[in-house]
Amino acid sequence: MKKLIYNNIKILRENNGEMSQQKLAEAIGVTRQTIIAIEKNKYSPSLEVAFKIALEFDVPLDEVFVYK
Amino acid sequence: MNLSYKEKTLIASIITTIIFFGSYLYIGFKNLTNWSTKFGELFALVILFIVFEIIIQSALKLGDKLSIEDERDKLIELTSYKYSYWTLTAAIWFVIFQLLLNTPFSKFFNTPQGLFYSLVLFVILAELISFISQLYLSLKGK
Repeated sequence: MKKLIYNNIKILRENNGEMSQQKLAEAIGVTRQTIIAIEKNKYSPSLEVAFKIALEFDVPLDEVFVYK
Repeated sequence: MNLSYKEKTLIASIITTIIFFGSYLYIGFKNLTNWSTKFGELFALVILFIVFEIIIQSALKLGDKLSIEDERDKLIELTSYKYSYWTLTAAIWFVIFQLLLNTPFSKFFNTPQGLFYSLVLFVILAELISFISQLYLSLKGK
């Protein structure tokens, strides 16, 4: 079975004071559409953006992205 | 629908390309028989198109506080160039085979005016394919 990259961004946003997709996008310097695509597992971001997301939520990378 | 700055500029580019070059090609193909060198006209049209695009994109930028292009936009752009290249290659091969096989179409490409407007059409078509595929991939959430 093919492995995919899943993410917990939606949960992390909700746990961080209901942070909006727009606010997260602005914080890491991408568009809101990119955040939507990542959340829906339709786009795998670069390592740089992945680390920026993890830093924004102050969690390790493997808490944001899961490869299974 | 909440469109990004990039998606808005793509829609604007599709519309302006169709209006500017569509009308140019329509008039060109309609008057194929009384043709003279149209280089000046085409050059003026391209300049006018670029100026118009700059004005529209600047206006969109003013109205959008988050007018950025990110890594996903760049990736989508690269994918769209591939489709654009395929379109242009297919069109060139189409003309080559028409001329080689001497089909009824080949008479059309044998005239300078026919070949000129066809090549302009193929370039514009490739450009439109690039814009449309970018918009599609962006909305699809690639």
